[in-house]
Amino acid sequence: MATTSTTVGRSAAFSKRAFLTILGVLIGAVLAFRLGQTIYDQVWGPEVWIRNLINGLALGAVYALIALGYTLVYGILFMINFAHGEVLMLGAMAGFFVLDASINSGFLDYNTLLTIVIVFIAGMSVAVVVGVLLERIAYRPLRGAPRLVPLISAIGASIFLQNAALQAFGANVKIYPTPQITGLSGGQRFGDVFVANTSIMIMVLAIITMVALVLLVNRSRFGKAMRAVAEDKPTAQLMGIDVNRIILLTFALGSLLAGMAGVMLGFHNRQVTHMVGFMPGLKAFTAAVLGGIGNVPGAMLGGFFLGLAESLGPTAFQIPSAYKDVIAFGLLVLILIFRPTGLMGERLSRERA
Amino acid sequence: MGNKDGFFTGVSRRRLLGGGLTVTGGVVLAACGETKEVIKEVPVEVIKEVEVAGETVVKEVEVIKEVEVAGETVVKKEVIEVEVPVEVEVPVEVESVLVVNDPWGIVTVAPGDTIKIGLVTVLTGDLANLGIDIRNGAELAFDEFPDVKGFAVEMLDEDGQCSGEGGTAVANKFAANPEVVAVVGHMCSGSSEPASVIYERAHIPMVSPSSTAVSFTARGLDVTNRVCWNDRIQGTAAADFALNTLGATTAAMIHDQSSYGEGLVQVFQGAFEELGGEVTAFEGVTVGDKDFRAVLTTIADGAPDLLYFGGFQGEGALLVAQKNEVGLEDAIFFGADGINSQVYIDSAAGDAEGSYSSFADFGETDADLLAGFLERYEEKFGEPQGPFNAHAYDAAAIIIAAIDSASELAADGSLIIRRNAVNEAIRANHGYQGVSGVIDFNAIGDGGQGTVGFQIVADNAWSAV
Amino acid sequence: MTAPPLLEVRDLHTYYDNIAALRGVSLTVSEGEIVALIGANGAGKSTLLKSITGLTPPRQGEIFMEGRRLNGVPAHAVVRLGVAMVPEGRQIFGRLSVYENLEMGAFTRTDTDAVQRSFDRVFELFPRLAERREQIGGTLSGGEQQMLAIGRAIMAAPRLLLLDEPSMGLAPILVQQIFRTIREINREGASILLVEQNANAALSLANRGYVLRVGQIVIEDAAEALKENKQVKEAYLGGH
Repeated sequence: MATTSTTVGRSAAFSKRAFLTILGVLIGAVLAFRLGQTIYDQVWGPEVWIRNLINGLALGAVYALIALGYTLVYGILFMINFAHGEVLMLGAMAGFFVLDASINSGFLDYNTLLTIVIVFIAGMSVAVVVGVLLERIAYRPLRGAPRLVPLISAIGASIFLQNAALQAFGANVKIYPTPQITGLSGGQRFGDVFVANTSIMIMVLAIITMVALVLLVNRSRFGKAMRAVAEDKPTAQLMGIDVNRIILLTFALGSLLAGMAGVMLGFHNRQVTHMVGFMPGLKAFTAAVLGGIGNVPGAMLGGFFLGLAESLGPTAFQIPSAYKDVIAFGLLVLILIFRPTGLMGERLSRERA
Repeated sequence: MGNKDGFFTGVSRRRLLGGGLTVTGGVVLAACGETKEVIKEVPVEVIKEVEVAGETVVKEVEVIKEVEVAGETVVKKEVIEVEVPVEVEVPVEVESVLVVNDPWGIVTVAPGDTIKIGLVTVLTGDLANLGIDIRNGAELAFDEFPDVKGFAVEMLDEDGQCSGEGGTAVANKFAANPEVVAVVGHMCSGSSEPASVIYERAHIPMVSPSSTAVSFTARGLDVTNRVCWNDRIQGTAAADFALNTLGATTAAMIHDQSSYGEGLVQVFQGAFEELGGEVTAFEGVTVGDKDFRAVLTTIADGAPDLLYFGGFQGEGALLVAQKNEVGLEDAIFFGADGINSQVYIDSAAGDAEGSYSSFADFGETDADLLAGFLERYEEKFGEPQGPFNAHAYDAAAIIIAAIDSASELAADGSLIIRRNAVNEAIRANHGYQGVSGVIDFNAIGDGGQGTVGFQIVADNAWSAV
Repeated sequence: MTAPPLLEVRDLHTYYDNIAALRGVSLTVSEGEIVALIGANGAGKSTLLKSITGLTPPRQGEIFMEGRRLNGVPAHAVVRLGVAMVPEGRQIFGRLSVYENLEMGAFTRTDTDAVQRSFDRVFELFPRLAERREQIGGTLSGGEQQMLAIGRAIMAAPRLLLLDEPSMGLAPILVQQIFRTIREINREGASILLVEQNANAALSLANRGYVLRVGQIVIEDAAEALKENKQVKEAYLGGH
């Protein structure tokens, strides 16, 4: 009896694995064939590939910045801060109002670079305040509760912030007048390929920020304390680390990145509404899971992967662009089937085991 | 009598059976076999009902019987047939006073009560500017035609969003309110279409000022009417304008995946190809997304002379700005009435300059009528924000007039409005002189003939081409 | 008594929800002492240490460190008052390197020179850790992890070191080495409260000892005397 059941169990496990492998190979083969066809038939000129690569990198850089906020908070509290997209939205809103004021007062013409810097600082500061308040009001009181409870609280906070912004700022679209800002309007031409200055700004700023963040997490006293808290809160307390303070600072850090992403999107896409954080938030959450939630390099990788899949997917597989999310999320499901802990998550789970 | 459709058949009110079925009140057609002393009979369940001649119903009823057989009490379960009169609820007041017959039923407005007409636009979100503009136009008509036969007209102002969910939510609310006679709306085709299915069932005629999608009236519903044009008109004229006036021979199609946007772009494509133009791409974008650079990049590969966009101002402004980043800076951006607003121009922050749109121009109509309307509008609401305010005025005015012709005063002073007659009266408008132009309803409810106008963005404003 | 003891615990009651884990525990650790706390599984030994460090605050009773009341002091502030702990099961940070683990031990210290001296001392006591300073904590062997846990506690430069079952799961030869190190740390000035199930080894090392049973101190005596105590022998020293 015992032998039989083990055999059955083993063969069931084997067949599931085999099924998944065959499925994966088949899907992979179809995609590879399609990609090969696209390249062989020269469906697109080289500039299409390069442009969409750049589009994807800029989009991915923003996703990565937002995803870092999800992953930092998850890493330390094992909760999904679903209001993170709204933190981004409020950062973008704050940036808009400061930009609007500096245009009206003529400060933009007086010093453009300083204006841009101030807009970023305003967006990031408001985002940090919102993030910290969220932690204190919506999450900290629920610290000991079952995991579902702070999740519901986060969804509630998200809806609350969306509607509060709608009531406070109105439904009309807020416009970042990028074409009026010298330095951000227009772009650079590299041969056949034109790259918007906002794309360049996003990529440069995001990469600098991410390098700084990795250094902060890996090298600084705060970063090490954050990792210690993420791993073992009681022991971290024995070391003299104030866990509540580290959690608060982690929220502040994630919100800072969201605020930066919000202002970037404001300059890049120009339109800001109370819903502007929703889709990027959802996509970035996906990116964080894709990379292995809780893992800092994973969030960056996931962000870039999703951005590239969205912009290059329809090109590569000759699928209408309306299906870009189908491609991106299809790849997500595929990857999670084979690597349930995400692209970078496996090492982490093995260590824990 | 025997008229299934009519609730008010003029017959005097019958004594009806109550909810609980008393078998002895009916005629027992087929009882049990051997006759014994029946002590008690309790109905358990109605198995089947067959209506006979609209007057009586034959029901098969399961009963539990206690029967005395040879001095012993036996409990049995049996199915019997019972004939009962049709259960009809007739308000006593109307009884044999007025014979009003309408296949869709009637609305009775008591003295002192109001006639309720829905007005469904978009009051929140990105398109609120267009929605409020439409509401204002309708409101003006409600102000100017405040009553029908002495009964005040009340406007039920609702936000139907630009989505199926928003549309059905409002439609369900109206359908649940038996006092709602008709609806001005909805604004977006994507909201009107799913709502119309509910109105069809509830017999609530709708007159949309701005749902131009081909599919809105193409489904053959009775309640779908509009005073704006069918997008066949707009799309065909736009294709002609693109090819013959703008000189574009190749064009890429972009739509926002709404029934309005996609339908319009399909009409344009058909007409453009028929005229000899070449369509290089047909792509959909997702409303709410803000980054369309990837799709524009693939479109740029076909090097079209023109981008034709079916959708609204928000996505239009993003597309017209982002096309310049991917090698489409020389392609003409051409949209439709969905982008014909100042918000589109402002949202593009300067990049809308030189882009075109079609819009619902005021057709051949009484010039004084139109001028008067615009004057009254601006006096009350300021500068118009969108292209459909006059249509909304006409839609409301047509509904109010239709109610007038499809209603009668009852002896007790209440107003009886016949629903189907309202719809018929709406569709009976031929050569109606509206402020938006001449309105001529056809069999499927398309009333607006529409004169397609074209405008270009110059110096941050829509100007004549 | 003239000087107050380094650590004084008075009539401590600690609960998990409504279950009493400590029911009136009193003990002292004097300057320079090694005190062993022995008892069976579930007697409340770990709870006592957690109550002292503030991780599981007591419901009743008082704790004094060098005359200063510890009740109400948050766990992360206790280490600043000179109390370091080697928790049960080592609890090293598995994803931090050996060096980073030690850095965490010195988290509250700001005097970089003194911290550097502590590093040197730890690497001197445990040369294995010096060899593996860049290695990730989770990949160390059990014995190395225990060394790291002790080293991390030393990094706090504590006046009082609390050790929770340092011998658990280790080979006898490693246990000996660990205990030798504990004695050495003690000689350098730290007082030690040692919780052990390996009562024999603990009492050999300690000056004094307490026996904890079901949340109460049942015997308190000099270590040598406890080793000879009949009850203790039967209950805790039997196998060894």
